[in-house]
Amino acid sequence: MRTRSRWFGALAILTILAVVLSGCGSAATPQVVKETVEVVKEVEKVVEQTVEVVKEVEVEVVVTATPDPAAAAAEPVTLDFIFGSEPPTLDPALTEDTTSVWVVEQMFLALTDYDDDTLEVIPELATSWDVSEDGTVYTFHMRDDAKWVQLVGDEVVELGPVTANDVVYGILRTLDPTTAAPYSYVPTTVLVGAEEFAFADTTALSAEELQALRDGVGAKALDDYTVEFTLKQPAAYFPAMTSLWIFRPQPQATIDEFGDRWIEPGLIVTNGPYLLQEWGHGSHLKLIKNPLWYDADQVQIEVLNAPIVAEASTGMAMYENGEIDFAGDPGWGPPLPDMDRVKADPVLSTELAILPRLCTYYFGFVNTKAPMDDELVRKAFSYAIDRQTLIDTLLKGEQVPANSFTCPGIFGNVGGDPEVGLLFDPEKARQTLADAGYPNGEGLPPITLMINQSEAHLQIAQAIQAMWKEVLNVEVILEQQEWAVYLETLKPDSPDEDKPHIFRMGWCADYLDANNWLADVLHSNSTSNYVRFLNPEFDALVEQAQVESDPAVRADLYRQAEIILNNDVTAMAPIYFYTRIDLTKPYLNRIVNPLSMDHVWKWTIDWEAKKAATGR
Amino acid sequence: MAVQQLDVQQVFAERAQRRQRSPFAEAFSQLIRNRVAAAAGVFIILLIVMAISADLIAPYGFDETHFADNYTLPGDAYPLGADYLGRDILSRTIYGARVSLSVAFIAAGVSLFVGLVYGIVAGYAGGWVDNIMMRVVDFLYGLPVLIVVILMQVYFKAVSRRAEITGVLKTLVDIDNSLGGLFFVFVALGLLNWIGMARIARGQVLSLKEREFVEAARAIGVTTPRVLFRHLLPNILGPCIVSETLAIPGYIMTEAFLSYIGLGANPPTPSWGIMINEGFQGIRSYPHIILVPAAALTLTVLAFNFLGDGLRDAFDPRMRT
Amino acid sequence: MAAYVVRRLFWSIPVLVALLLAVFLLMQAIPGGPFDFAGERSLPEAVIANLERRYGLDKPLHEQFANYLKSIVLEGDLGPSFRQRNRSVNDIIGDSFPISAQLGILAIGLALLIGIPAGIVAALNHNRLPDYVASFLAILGVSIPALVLGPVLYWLFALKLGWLPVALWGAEKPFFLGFLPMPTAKFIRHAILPTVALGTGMSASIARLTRASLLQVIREDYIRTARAKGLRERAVVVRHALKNSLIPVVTVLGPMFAAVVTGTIVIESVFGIPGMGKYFVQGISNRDYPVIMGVTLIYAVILVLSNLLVDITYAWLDPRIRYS
Repeated sequence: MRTRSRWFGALAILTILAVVLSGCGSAATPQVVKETVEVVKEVEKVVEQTVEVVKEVEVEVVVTATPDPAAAAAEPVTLDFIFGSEPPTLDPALTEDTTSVWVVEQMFLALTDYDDDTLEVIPELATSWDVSEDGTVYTFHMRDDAKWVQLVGDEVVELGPVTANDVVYGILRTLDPTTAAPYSYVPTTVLVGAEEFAFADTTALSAEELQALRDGVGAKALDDYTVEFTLKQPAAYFPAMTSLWIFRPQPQATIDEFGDRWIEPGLIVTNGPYLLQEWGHGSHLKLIKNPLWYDADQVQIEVLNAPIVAEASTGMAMYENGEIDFAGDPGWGPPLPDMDRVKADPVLSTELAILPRLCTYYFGFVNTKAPMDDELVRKAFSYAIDRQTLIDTLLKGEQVPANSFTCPGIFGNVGGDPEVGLLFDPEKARQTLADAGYPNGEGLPPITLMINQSEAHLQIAQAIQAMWKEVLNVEVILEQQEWAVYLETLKPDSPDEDKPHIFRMGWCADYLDANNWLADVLHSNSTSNYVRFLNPEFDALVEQAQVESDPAVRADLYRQAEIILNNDVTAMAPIYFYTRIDLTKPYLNRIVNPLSMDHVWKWTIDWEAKKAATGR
Repeated sequence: MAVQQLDVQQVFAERAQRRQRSPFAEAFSQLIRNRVAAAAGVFIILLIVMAISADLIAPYGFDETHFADNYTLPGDAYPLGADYLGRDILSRTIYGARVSLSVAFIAAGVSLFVGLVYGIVAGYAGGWVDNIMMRVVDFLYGLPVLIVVILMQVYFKAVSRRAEITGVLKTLVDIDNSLGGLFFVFVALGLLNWIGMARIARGQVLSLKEREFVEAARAIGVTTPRVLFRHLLPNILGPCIVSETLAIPGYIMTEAFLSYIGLGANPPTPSWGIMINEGFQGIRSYPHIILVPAAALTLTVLAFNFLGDGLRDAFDPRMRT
Repeated sequence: MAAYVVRRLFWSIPVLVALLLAVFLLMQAIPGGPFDFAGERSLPEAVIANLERRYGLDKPLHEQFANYLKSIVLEGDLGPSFRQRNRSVNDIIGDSFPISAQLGILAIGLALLIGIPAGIVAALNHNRLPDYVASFLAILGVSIPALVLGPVLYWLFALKLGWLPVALWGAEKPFFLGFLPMPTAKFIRHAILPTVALGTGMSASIARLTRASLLQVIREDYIRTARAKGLRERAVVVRHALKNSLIPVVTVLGPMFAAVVTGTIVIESVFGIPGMGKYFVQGISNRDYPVIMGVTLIYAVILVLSNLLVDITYAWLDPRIRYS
């Protein structure tokens, strides 16, 4: 009996091992091997198909990518930083979050880009663009020296030029209802045929019908390097929109062959300044300079090395330990509790930089829910918020008190305009609440303020809760929900009884035009109109601004809209305009972009100084 | 006849003696003699008193915010400093004891009672009864209870505002809200641990029931319930109490953990787990914020462990030297 | 015995299916769907509809569940991740499970390595100095929650002294047998703090249990008999007492596996380790149903197997217990 049970004990251990192994080992390793084989096939195919030029390039590549051993001994110029979370995707069509956007920006070229300083739209893939008389047809002329590139092992392989067809393929793939891209709705308000195609019910359509819808989209390649977009109405911000990730060219052959996995290292085909070398899921990303990029000789930093670190405090520790070169997007800036220390520290204070970030933090009132359906009540609650004190005592990041929804830096914003918005005025707040029939807060039903679970939001909410108590003598109930539930609660079509009276929300710019704010968020049919602000006059103004081509007139239309939103109706209480709080080591010359789409290829590192500082 | 008389007298004398020194009385006197355990017991009693009278003792309310004073270091205004919202850390720690202690006692009581009864019955009955009872335990044991608890917590927290929630669910959600979001933590911890207790009790019964004194008792016709609770229970209570004592810190820590990941107490209910999480954010600049709740949690767990050790020594006569 | 193992494994199947079904239904009931938000935004209904069609969420629930089970049984496929399209749940578990397993095994290894000898030393020196020292250390160790020990070690060794890295996991693929990493300096440096944070409490409780149990066993008649027979003390302890005294230790190993699961979630979050617990918590807030179900299934399988292993070991250690 004894020997037998011992034997079975061993058997059980083996069984566990077997299950454990089949659970992980077999799932991962063999697949990788299989894919590698496919990669090699793909490369051979393309090389066969293309002409001699490719071979020349390959020779060139081998030299740059696998340098001789003597040169390899010298460490490449490396930028060390962290990601605050794993990018959920690197696929330009599917990107929806800031981390992915940041990486996509380093790897994929857009037709247009922003100037880091002026925020003007500047050429990238497109060298120039023309607009038709009526403002509805945009023609982009592209440069012919951008190339698709794949990193196979250590070898950089060229896979042909980036053409107008790739641009058209990219936008059509984004819109395709079978792709089901989260951001596919963004072009639908502008591009002819986009809405019909993107929102089509594929189950009810035949392949031909779907193809017809695809063909109906106003995106056409006129020749290899000219692409034409047809718009529903004039949209002056369209060139700004083409800088978005969803408008970027995508490599059709690779995507067709590998499907959703095409963005994995070894498979991914890109055209930008950097190439994806490693992506250890949950652990790190490593990008290396693309030697075949047209401006590669301008790029100093050769390697981007970034682990994924989920805690802000850990990020700060790594910065102070000299493990990373900067603390800020796409990782973490200094955590709030460290702000005072950073400002007081003789070294850290010199490394601190505070710049605007194109986002607005606001408290929304559910305008359809009593007593928030009374504009006087909403005004009283807005007047009672002491934004400057909130910033000075809590946020400590030199944020700017917000008087409008659209933040400074966006075309059409009225940030700081003294005639727009309600400023802190405790007297007026009390008076307005009394006018609404609730003197000293008496008679008000219980008011709920809801936030999504987060320490930062809790802090702000509790501070404002205290202000309302002090100024209005109103005891507001604070509730928290996790993000997914929160958005479902606030969704425009959710029942009002589930909704709170007041909630917190933020909005960040996708492109630099007030249309992205006032129309995309607050038009009465917007899915982001959580405040239930349904104002025909406002709708008319932003619709008019969409088709107007004179910038001065447009700016004035947006100003009028902001006055309705903030002064007349007071649908929301903007709290502050965000800032980007960054720490940067002195040896790194880092140009920060307010849209958080940093151009790392323009950065430089004083490599000797870094080596000395970090003791490499 | 005379011999019998003597026997009876002897039995009575023994009984009287046993009654005088019941295992519990004996354990208590033994416990008092163990100074460390006694100190731990006193600490826990003080903690209970503190938790009950928190409203009187605490210098501030647990959710009283003073923004201008956030991150204040320990000093006159705030004996142990203030947190990121300018809330008094001492007051919050005092109120936090309520959460930890209620979790400890409720969960331990439920688990000990249910587990013991279930385990003894299963182990003693044996055969198909044991088989079925253990199948049920296996079924529950196969559930990663913590995972299920997390999902249930997510569910109840998510639906708590929904208008469509009515009836029993609504009642449960209301109870949960009135307990600061911890009702399901209590339930879950009870669920989590009575199973373990049942297995231990059953295992003990299995190895004891073949022993001479049980067989002797059965042979002289002692009824089954009496065998179970008079003869077996005192013998297995020792290991079970040791094990339950080992479990109490587990309950406290699990609650702290759930609260740490945001699935326990609802803020601003001051759970030590939440406070540790908050403190961890600022650990570089203000280590005092994490220090106090961490110390409170550790000391409480330590006290329960010392008390448990003392109890073990006291309850298990064979351990004594 | 073989029949017993087979029967136990067979019986675990309905448990697992019932668990999956419960989790599946619970997730459907939780407000907030996987596509109700994208990053910071809400999505239009039409886009949500496209996404749901793509993942088959437009089908009736029973059909969804049946398809899910079918793909597990037939292809071993735990489905796609809703949030990370380029990875399946198999990929996610394949990447994160080995890391959690490494951490768990190291911690349990540490616990047994320290706990059992410490318990034996204490018991054999009952009421003498080594006993007091070991008992005190054990009670201290068992009283410091991982939630406290993690941040404390982090603060002391990573922040203040800077001896060890502040975060991340140093294991580098390929893993031997699918989960054993090369013991490189990097791996060891990264593993020390999390392992100690997780393993300390466990080693202390094993030490306490070993001591208590060994003390009990030493007093048993058969040990006295063995001693009376003139066996050397060492032989008495190792051959007779120790084995029986390990029975209670084995019983706690089951719950300990469960504790490791909990513990790894805490430690993974404190030290930024990309293990399975992290994906589980993330999966919940993202409403990534297949990830939640996949991770739950893996946890349940681990639990079933470790319980089985415990029972088998139990029988092996105590011949009086028989399974049939």
